[in-house]
Parts: sequence; C-alpha cells; structure tokens
Amino acid sequence: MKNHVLRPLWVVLGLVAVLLVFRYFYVPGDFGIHERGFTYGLYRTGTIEDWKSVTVKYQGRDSCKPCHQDVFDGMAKYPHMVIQCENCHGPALRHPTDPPKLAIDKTRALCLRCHAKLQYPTSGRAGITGIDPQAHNTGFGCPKCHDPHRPTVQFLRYSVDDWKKITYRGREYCRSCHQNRFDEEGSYPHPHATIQCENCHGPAMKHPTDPPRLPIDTKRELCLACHTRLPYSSTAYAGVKGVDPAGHNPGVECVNCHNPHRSALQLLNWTTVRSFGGS
Amino acid sequence: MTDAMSRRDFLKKSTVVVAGVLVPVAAFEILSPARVQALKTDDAVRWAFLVDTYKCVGCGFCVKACKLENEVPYDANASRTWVERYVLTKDGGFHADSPKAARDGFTDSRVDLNESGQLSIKPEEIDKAFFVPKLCNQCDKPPCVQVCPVGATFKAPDGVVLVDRTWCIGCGYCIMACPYGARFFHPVYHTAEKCTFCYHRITKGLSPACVQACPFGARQIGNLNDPNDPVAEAITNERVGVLRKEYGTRPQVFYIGLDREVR
Repeated sequence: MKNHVLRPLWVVLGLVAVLLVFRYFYVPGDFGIHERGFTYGLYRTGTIEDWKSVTVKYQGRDSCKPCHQDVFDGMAKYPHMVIQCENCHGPALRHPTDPPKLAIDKTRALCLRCHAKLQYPTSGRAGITGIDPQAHNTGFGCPKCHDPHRPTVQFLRYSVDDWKKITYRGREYCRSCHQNRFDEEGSYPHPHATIQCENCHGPAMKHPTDPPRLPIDTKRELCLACHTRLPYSSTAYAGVKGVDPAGHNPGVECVNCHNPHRSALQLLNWTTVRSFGGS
Repeated sequence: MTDAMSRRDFLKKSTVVVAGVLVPVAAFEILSPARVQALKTDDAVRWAFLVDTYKCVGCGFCVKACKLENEVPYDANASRTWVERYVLTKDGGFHADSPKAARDGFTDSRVDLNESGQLSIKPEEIDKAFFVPKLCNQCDKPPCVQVCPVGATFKAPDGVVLVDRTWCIGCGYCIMACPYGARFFHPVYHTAEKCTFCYHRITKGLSPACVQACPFGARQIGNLNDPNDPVAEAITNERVGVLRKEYGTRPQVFYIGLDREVR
C-alpha cells in the first residue's frame, strides 16, 4: 500500500496516543471501576474519604446534658422532652468554645411549626394541641407566657388577670404620642377625662408597633352603654346625662355631632345638628 | 547473509512497535471482569431508611437540621430533604404543597399553590391529610448513576449514592434522570447535590441530622445486614412500601402509611 494511503491511519493513531498519554496524567490514580461494576461503581475512591471528613455540626442532646442538667431535669416529665435541644437552639458545633452562646429563638414561627392547629385526620399533627396563629395573642412571642421547657398550663408565666394588665397599658401610655387629645379640654370641663382610652379603643398592647392602629368604634351602642337615660335613677347614673335612644336621632352615629373627647357642649358640627331639626 | 531489513523497513516497523507500547496496560485492566468479581464483599454495611408517615407532623425540623448540617444555603430554593403535605377532601379533591421544602414547617392551614396563591380548605371538608418526608432513596439500581457521563456519581459499597464534587462537570443529566426529584444543582459549588444520608455522620456511628432532629421518630436509619437492627426488622416484617415502584429503581427508603395519592 502506498504511503499516502496509510498516513491518515498514522494520524489517527497519533491522536489516540496523545489522548492516552494525557489521560494517564490527568485521571487520578484511584479512579476506576470498583465494587458494583462499571454501571454503578465507576468512581474515584478518594471521594469517599472527602465525604467522611465533613464537619459534624449537630452534636445531639446527650452532649448538652453534662452542663445543662438542670434544664434536663426540669423538662423530664413534660412533652417537649422528645425535642432535640438543637432543634430550637441551633447546632452546637464546638459549643462552648465555638460558638460561646447558642441562639435563643423567641419568635412565634418556631413554636407554630407544631402548634399551629391543623385538624388533619390520619396524621399525628391532629394530636398536637394548637392555636390559631391569627387569633391567639398576635404580636407577642410565645415564651412571654409559656415556658418552652415546661410547656404545661401550670407553668404559665401570667394569669389571665395579670395578662390583661400587660396588654392594657393605661392612659399615661397614650399621653406620650397623643397629648393633643389630653389638651382638648379647653375652657369646658372634660367629662371623659376619667375614662381609660382603652375602654373605647381596645387594649394598646404593643401599639404603635403592633397593632399599628387601634380600632375607632363609632357605633351608637358604645356611647349608649353609659348615655342611655333610664326611667329610674340609680346612683351610678345619677351624674351622667343620657338620651332616649329611640327618640334622639335614631340611626345616626353619635360622633356625627359629638366629639367623644370633648364635652357635649362643644358639638362637632352645628350645621349638621340644625339639619336634624335640632337647635 | 540473510535478507537484512532495509533502514526504511526498520523505521516503519519500530514506529508500529512504539505506538503499540504507548497504549497503557491499565486500558486492559478496566475491562477485566475477574477483578471486579474479586472485590465484592458480602459482610459490608447496607444502609436503609424507614419513614413513618403517621408520625410525621410537618414541623420541618428535619429540613432545617439538614440544611445547617450539610451547608446547603439556608435561603436557597433547594434542599436535600423535604416534607410534602397532602390534603384530600371529601369531594375527591387533591392538594399537595411543600412551602420552602417545609424548612419553616407548616404553620398555615391554607395550601400553598405557588403562583396560584393559597387555598383555604375548611376542616370539615378534609377526608385525609398527612405529611410525607422525602429524601434521596439511595436506589439499588440508581438511574442517576447510569446516566452520569464522567463517573462523578456512584454507589458506594455500603449502599449510599455519592457525588464526587471534584469530578462532576455539572451537566445535570443525573438531576433530570432522578424520578424522585431528589437531586438539584448546588448554588455555590455548581455541581450535582443530593442527600447522602449524612455520610460523614453514619460512618462515625451517629445518625443523620434529620433522623436525630425528628422529635416523633418518623425518620429512622438502619443496617439491612445487621440481623438485630430494629429498622431492618421492621422493613422485612412490617407492611412497608416504596415510592414509584414501577420505575424499577429498587429504592432503599421504605414508607409506612403510604397512600396511593402520594406522588
């Protein structure tokens, strides 16, 4: 066969040789077919050691016990005993060397993972007591009232009455931003001066953070609770002026004419009053 | 004197010999079945996983623990393991979701339908509702390993399917091939990533992060080659199922309480 015919064959063989030399240097020595054959066992054995040497971050609750035995003993008989400490406090890593302190998560989201009530038949979730997250003391972190390590009712931090004291702040709390309301007395006595703002506006809680606005109730029923003239005089009502609800502008909201923060003599809008036929 | 070779002939022939010698001897070893046969061992550990869907409450502590233990970026839209919620209504309706892979648990009774919004379902309408934790099944016949063009992913001797991050070229064939959706692209390393049964923990005698984190024992891991292992005993004796049995992948994650609606 003539030389020029065989030359492409030499070229191809040359390329193959180059490839094989390159492969000899580039492919790691431990790469090859190991157990389970070519289909499932083609790999570099060094990678198994790489995966084994990843740092372990979660240490498990037994590593917490030696220093935090008191918490363990407190938790022992209560339902949260089954939860790993690191679930709520984050991985221990090399605590107490690094990190020196673990996070204490007081957000609602943490507790709601289990305690947002989901009534799911056939699931273990149905058996966990829970609350409606939108209804139950919104704005407050759960640990404010509940001890996360001893979550039963007997260890609640506040009784219902004590809780009301927290959520109802009192007039002085309002004064810092709403001094203008306090100043509206003017030359007339301010009969509502002794009423708590929160009686009509609801508990302040963490206003203005949460709730950003308190409700403004304009319905007649709120005013008529005190200002309904009763056919008999009782000592409680003796000094309070009242109206006959059926006779005095029925269907019209009181605040159309009356400013609840000022005396009745300082009516809001005399034009409105005259349009009703008053004087 | 016999016919001596001409110089030209000698050069031609020696080139052929040298070219032949350049072929590495290792090329023949790779194709030797005898060597592969000799490496098989029968007494190794064989990992298997047991999930009890009756016990799972959807708290999501497993997902959080997995992300932190295995350094999967916490806010990325990817997780090595996840929990799916299934809500089946009395009128035959079927709804499933997995908000953020259940990283923050299920705190909303509304089903998350992504772009379609959120669906409220009245409690009295619910026929069955349950949670299904999912992870890589470490299949015995893994389709993801078969399709890897470079040999970056493989089945280790003890049964765990691993990915060699230094060798993976990021083609994504394995991510496409997995019928369980267990694989994803690692956002930082740009290689294929998946659950490894916390290989760095199980080889030290610890349990995977998700198994340890679960407060209700819905997740358990065991050694099928150990006759005294309670997980192995449950898998062989109790009524367990696997996901997508029809694919023939022979998954090693077994489920108690699998409903036919589970995808």
